[in-house]
Amino acid sequence: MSGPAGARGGAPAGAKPGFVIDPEKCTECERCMIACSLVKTGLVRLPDSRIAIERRWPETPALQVCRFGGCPGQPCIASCPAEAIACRDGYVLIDREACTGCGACLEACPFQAIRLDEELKAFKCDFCAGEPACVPECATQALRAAGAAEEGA
Amino acid sequence: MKVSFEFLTLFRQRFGADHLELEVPGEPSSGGAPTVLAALQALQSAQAGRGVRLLEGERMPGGLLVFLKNPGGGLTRVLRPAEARIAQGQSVVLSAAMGGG
Amino acid sequence: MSGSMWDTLLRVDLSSRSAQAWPVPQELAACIGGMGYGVKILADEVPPRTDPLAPENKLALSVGPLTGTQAPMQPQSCIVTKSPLTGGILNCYAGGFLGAELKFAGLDGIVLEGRSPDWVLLLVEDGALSFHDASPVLGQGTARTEAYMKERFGPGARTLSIGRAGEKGVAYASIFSETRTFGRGGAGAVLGAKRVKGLAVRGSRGVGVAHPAEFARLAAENMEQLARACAEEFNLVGMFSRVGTGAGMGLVNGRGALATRNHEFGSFDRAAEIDGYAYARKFYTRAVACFGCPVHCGMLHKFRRADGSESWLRGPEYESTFALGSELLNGDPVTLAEANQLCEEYGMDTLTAGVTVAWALEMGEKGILKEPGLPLRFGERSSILGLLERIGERRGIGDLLARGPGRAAAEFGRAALGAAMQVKNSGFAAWMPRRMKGTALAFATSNRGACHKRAPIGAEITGQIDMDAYQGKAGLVKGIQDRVNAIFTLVSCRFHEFVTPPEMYPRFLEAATGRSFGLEEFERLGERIWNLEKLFNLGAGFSRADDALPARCFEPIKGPSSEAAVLEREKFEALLDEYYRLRGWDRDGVPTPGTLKALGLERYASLAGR
Repeated sequence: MSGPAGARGGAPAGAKPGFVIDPEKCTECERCMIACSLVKTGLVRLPDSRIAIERRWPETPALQVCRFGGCPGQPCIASCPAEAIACRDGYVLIDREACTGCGACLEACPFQAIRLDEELKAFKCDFCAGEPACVPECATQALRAAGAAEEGA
Repeated sequence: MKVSFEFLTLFRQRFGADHLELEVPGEPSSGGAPTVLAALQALQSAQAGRGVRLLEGERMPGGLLVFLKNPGGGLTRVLRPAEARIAQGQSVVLSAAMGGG
Repeated sequence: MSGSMWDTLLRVDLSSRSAQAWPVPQELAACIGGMGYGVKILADEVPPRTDPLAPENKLALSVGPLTGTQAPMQPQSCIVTKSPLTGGILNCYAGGFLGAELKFAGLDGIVLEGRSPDWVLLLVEDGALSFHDASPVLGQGTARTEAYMKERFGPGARTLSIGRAGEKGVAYASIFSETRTFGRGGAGAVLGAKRVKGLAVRGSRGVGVAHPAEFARLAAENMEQLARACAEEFNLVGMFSRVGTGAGMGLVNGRGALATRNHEFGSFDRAAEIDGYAYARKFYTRAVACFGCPVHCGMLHKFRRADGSESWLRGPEYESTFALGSELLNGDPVTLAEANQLCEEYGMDTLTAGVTVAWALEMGEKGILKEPGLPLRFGERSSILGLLERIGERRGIGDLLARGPGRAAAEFGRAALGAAMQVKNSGFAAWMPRRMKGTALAFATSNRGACHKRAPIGAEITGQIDMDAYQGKAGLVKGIQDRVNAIFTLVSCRFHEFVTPPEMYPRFLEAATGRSFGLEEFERLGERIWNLEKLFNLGAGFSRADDALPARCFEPIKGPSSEAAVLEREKFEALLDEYYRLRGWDRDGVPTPGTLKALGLERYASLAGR
């Protein structure tokens, strides 16, 4: 770890969404999940988080979050029978109104990064429109924003 | 005067050894006995390649613990390195803050 | 939700298999949470002379206003009960994720009372409790029990369990929770006596705070303080984050304060084989954290057991490297890891277990104790693992040793008792009272016996204050005891206070709960809780005679680096007198009426039974 939390790992303005993830560094502290649910709902409620730690204890955990441009083929888009998922400027986003809750995208996603909410609408990470709230919380830089990582930050 | 250093905890790991001897210039006024400050300066120069920063000017960084070890084995904490003199038979012990719990 | 608390506890009557939500009364809410809740409930509801293993004992598991929020390093939950080990009031803690999950389940805590007619697993889901048959896991270790609960109740369930030691009533049986332990004081035996094999919690509620913007600012500020500390090369908490709590053994050893061979010596020639750096060097290591913690002091290691099989251990903690290492003349990190695993599987406090084993080995080498088929020798792997197993099973000599070091030793006369390193029958934590006079006072006066969490160990071992001096220690120890009690209402990790300025705590409290709290009032609450514990202990039959240290502490430590450090009886008693005076207690250690009035505890005077 080095440097204050706020300056660590944040994406430069205008960078395309994406994460660089090193699961070996993940300590399973869940601060990313805490921050995400807080910024989206105002409460700490882990099922609302768009990022999740899949525990494989004692083996290294897996991080379940959208990889955006780093996802090969972005299969969620093609999987949606209602064409509710689209990619614009690197942002893969779900149109909540159009979503029918069929769950096909949950199946298709190679990172288990899509969930259904209580109203049976699919939701996923939207990269917080450019300044992901989770990244600065990661004390070990297991989770970094792709733009920042490319610049060697 | 030849000064013996002993490394504990983090320092053992950083220096790759648990002890070291260095020639340290003494103060003529005190019959050749060097100060702990002089010893740290000598160690810092000698170990410059390992990037260990023992001193910020004449002050030790917080969390760096320096002791003088008596021949009998007891350790006395050094808080003012410029004033502490190393007597014959004493060694300088370096450690980082302890762990526990 | 009033701020970050639900103002609800779940009261469970195991005898009648019933549970109900209990709205927290105003008077209890004033105790903030965590240790505050637990001690008040015990003081109000459990007569101090109650048999700890009887149905009438209660076990309160509580969390606090910072649990389940984004405030860093607040993952702990607190268990308060009457201890079968000491016979006094116990508070113990575990990090991990159970505390946060309780909050997510809509609860500030659970109080267990009575005794279940059959062995049960308890499941809490969003405030509702159900009872489940524990027979599939009866007799199983803690890991198997918790894996079973996750299979049955879902992988998202957070769990705690007891092992065979808790089932069999080993006096220092612990409660395990995933990778953390409610270690001290025998809480596992209390659960065992209630026939509770495990507890699982699942929640789907969200935790909010009274003033979200201010709370977020405070959390960010605190994260900044922690990041700066961890970035400092020589910072204590930074070292924890890199190497775990075992980082400092070299210094303790260098100062002649590393208890070795049942506290006979103060330094161990193989300390460098079993400290945190050694484990990091020898074995695969990955750092793991508790809920919301950026320090991640937990070190997970993969190693090869002596039989060649691959195995994992999250640990050993510093305290365990003393108790299962230097104290037993064990310089083998694999044997130490396996001993730690045994304690985890059986669910036993590594400290009291290690100290009891050390006593047994010394008695064995002196020919006073014998165990058929088992050599009793320091440093011998079979002796160490064999004794631990027998204790967990209460088999052979293990049955005697399972009673605790003081009670076991008392069977063999004064000389034997003098070599049992315990206070109130609870084994010493990893520090030498003879070497560190403030720590001596803290061990002797701790309400739960030989507790290091409220001792000035850092200041003394680093030489920031003179460890040999008696002067000034009484005030220092009182201050730490009160402050740590206060932060254990939140429920803070002990290490949080090493980095966080004290003024942060009332600010956090206010932003979380909406209730205004001054720093002095906050620390005063810690003092009030300390006194309430003391009254309970007095009522349980404790006296000044129990604020004592074993005879070995009054003999010089052997070995040059310890400088023949010794506690002088007269000076120790004078120090105790000074401590009692500062506490506002009489010469017997009884809080005076004036003190109780000043602390608002007058109506608890009768608790002390005097």
